[in-house]
Amino acid sequence: MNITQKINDAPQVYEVVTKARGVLETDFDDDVRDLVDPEEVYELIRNITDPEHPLTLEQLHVTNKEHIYVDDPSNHVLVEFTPTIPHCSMAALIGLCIRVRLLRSLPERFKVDIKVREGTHQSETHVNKQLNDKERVAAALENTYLLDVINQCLATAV
Amino acid sequence: MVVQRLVDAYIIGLGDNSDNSELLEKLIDCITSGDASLLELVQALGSYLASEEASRRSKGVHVLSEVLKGLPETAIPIQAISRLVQFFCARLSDATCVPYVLTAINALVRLPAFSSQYSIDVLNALFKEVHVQSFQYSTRSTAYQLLELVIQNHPESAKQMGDDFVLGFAQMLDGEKDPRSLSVAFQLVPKIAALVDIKNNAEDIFDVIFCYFPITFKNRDGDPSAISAESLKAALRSAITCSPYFGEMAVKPLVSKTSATATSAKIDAFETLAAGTRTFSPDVYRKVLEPLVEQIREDVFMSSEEAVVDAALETLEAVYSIIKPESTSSVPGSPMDTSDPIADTNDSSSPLDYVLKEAVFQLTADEIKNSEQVGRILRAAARSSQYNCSVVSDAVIPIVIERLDSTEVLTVRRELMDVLNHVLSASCDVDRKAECLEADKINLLNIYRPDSSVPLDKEYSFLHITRLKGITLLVLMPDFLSVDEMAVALQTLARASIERNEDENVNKEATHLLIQLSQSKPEQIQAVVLPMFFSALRENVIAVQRVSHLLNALGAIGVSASKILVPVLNGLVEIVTSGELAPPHCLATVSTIRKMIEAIIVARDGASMCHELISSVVSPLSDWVHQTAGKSTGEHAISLLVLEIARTTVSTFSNLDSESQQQYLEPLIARYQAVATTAHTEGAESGSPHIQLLPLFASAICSCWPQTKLPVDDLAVFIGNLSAVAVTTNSQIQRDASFEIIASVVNKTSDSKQRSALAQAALDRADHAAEPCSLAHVLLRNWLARALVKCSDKRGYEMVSWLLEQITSASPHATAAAEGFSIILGDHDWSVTAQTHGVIKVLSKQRFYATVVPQLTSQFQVGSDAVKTNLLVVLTNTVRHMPKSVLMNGVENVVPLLLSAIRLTDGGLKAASIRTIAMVIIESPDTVQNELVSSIVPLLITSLDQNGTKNSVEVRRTACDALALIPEKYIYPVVQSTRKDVLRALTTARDDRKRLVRQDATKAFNKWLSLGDS
Repeated sequence: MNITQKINDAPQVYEVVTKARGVLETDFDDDVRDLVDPEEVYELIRNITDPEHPLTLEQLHVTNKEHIYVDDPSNHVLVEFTPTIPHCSMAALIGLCIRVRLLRSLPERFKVDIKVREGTHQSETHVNKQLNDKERVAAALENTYLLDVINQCLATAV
Repeated sequence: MVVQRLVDAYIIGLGDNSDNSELLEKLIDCITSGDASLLELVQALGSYLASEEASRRSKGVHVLSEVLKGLPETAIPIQAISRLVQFFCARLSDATCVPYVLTAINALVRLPAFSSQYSIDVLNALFKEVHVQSFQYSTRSTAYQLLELVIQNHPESAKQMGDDFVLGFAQMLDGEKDPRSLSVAFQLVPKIAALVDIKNNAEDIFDVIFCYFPITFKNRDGDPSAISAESLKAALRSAITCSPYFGEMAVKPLVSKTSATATSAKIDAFETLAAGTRTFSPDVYRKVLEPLVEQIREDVFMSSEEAVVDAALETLEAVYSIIKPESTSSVPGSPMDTSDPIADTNDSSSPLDYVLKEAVFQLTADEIKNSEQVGRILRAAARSSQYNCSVVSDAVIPIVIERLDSTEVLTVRRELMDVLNHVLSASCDVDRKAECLEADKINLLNIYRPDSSVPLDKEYSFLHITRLKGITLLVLMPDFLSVDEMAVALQTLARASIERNEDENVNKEATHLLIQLSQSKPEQIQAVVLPMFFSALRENVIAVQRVSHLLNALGAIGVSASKILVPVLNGLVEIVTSGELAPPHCLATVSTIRKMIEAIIVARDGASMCHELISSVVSPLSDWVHQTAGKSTGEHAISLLVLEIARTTVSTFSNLDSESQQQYLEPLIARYQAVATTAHTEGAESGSPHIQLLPLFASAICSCWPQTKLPVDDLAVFIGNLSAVAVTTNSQIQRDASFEIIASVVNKTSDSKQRSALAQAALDRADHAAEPCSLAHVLLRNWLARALVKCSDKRGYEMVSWLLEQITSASPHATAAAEGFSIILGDHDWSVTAQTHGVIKVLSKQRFYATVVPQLTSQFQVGSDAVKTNLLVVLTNTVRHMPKSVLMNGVENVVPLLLSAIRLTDGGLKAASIRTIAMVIIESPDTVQNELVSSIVPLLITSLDQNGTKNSVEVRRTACDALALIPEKYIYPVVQSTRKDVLRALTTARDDRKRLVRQDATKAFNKWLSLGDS
């Protein structure tokens, strides 16, 4: 993978408008259970750095709060992301970054699906298959070079 | 003989490079005291001064110059000056002597007897004989210094020399490379230009200075020359722009430098051009106007650096401000170009054409590009003068209006409005309305009229914001809107601020614009906008979020302009006292009033306003709450309201002087004394309204200066009564208010005996009134300890010992005594605080820490489990309020106790202990390294457990935070053995039922996961 040559040289950068949720009255009430919601998941992934540019996935509108679906009681999370261009060869890597981030952050009970948003990538099915195949993901994470790249992308997300 | 000996020794010393300061002092003393004369010195130096050998001559001149420099004015005879000047002028041709000759001449120039003729002789010799640039820096610097001294002390001689002086200076400077000398020389140029007519030699002097443009200089760290790149740049700029004779030569090359690739050179060229407009003739700019405007346009459109754009636009404005109109604009299609009286139909070109033609082209194109940049250029050109503003407005506004009429595309409309706003803002800046505006008034009003067809959603919020800005500009335009029209405009802005928009940026912008307007149109804002806000606030049904938005907006408007402040405050007070607001809204409003008052007291001279604020805000609110207390509103709501009003009282009352405080206290005491000194007992109706208001009384008394005399007959009796009431009352509010007053009064009593007597009176009356050792007795001692410990009174420590004794003897109120330690050191709104003039001695906290902690440690060794728990509560309460610097001193003794506190306490105390441990980890990780793996980490892991009752959300979060610190502060081998356990615990914590805990656990987990990676 040659990441010195950029796939998308000049991506559209958006102004970040996400505001912190703020402290709610129930936040310190131990009797109230806070369910995991899309906002919480979005908060985990929005600051991941793009593999190509020193910009976050939020700034590039690769991730979007509206494209995250969470069903806490059924332990299911679906994250859809939008590559900046339809032929983006970084799509799989971005998806992998999101997967690793959620793997290290969400409660283990959740089944996480990561998908390219429908109609936004030319090899959508292929990327989706790659991202949701446990063995392929595990194999990818054994590649130390790849893991370094992912860790760099995730360094800003903590 | 003495002089000869000294001179010889000095000369020998010069040869050896030894320190001659002592010899020099002796020589100077000798001449000053009259033991020897200057003539004798010269005679003694004779053989050296007349020597054939250059080095001997220079040594002789060196000694003479040093002595002359050190001699006082009176020690140099007037008749000697002439001889000395002659001698030194002759010596200037002797290159080896020049450095010392110049020092000597500088010493002579300072003398009052040094005449202008001498100056001329010296300068002529200097310019003729000395090639300054062939000498080292110190000599060159002395030469420039000489010129500076002559200009300062004998300006007439410079005038008399005229061209010779200018030419001599130019030759002297030619080839100078040292930035320190350049800085001095550049500063001399404007002085010379002001003194001498430089017309004949303008080119020479200009060539010598302009060759340095653009000047760059990097200051080395620790360079003692103390010149900066900026000061050098400014000196060169003022030199280049100091004379109109330089204009012709400077402007053209400066314009060509504006196309430089280096940003700093570009900005420098623009700024120098702008500075030149103050002295250069407009004609020189007129000649280069076209390429200059072209370059400015290119930079404004293309440059990514805002500093370049700003410099370019400022230059454009400065240049247009001096170019006088020869003819008016004749932009094709402009209806106004023939109606102007100054119009000259024979000459169709105007200086503004260079700007206008391109702008008109852009504005009439199908797709408007760079509207922001076009607008900014037009604005800069228009604000250069009132005339130019009219020309630009006449040329642009009709085109924009026509285009706006014909287009429905919202993005195009927004861009056109943006340009229009820029042009209108120029009218506001030059404070003159363009003539075309009157003709197009109706059209303009229509453009900015809210368009109901445009949805108020996020997509169009930019259009709405642009429109609101335009409305603001119309309001600010001098003599443009009629009173009614202005009212409509302000109503539109107010509605945009008040009504709920999908994009809250529209609300924010509208509020921001109203704040701006409130500074220039306070009367109109008061008449039109405030009533709308107040009536919106009165609508009881509105959501809490909107109320807070309205109150924030009102608060900001009120604080921004002093004229509106009082009406806003009065309006809010009226709304509160009218009783129309729902209790939560009422509380929010009072809270806004308090915040406004706090803001203006910090920002302005608070004391002068406090009288007015008390009479118009605090008193009506207090009266109102006095009347309404006990009526339908809930008890809890009232107590919160009272608390807010009490805080407001503190803000205002504490800023009064003691005499005014006394005046206000009298009615207050009359109103509340009876309530305060009558205990509320079981038989009385619960929640008596007057008792609820006691915080108002307490806050006012606690805000007094120590010298304010309380209007009571006998202070000890008053304190005693309060104490008796506090221990017998059932009302917690009454008890707390009594303790607050007692603590404040005792603390502010300056005489230690009297203070002790007051404290004793309080204790005695309390023991008398109720059985000793009740909970209230414990609390009384906690409060007295607060009052006395803060002013470092030893009796405070007696109270502390008493409290510790209660704890160790396991009395029934041991827990209360332990928890009461938070009273001693904790924050309070008004009792014994710095804001309310409490007497707080420096190092009082340190003393407390040094006294109490050893006692705690020793008691902890022997106490039972229950005692230990209470001692840990005391420890945590002590530690949490200690400054870090105090705490870190001897922290190793406290750590074991803190670990026990984590084990034994729960809730806030446990969290506080974990926080302290975390602080120790940050500040002094080595101190706890031994306990880290064995004790701290396991304790933190147990604190993550969400199933027990001991670990509140706060505890779990602080445990996560503390765990997150460990990988940052310790190396992998130290914590490696515990990593697996921590990761396992944090994985569980990532599924905590509280979101905040999950977030913190995730952060900590990722830190531990990457531990050892690098």
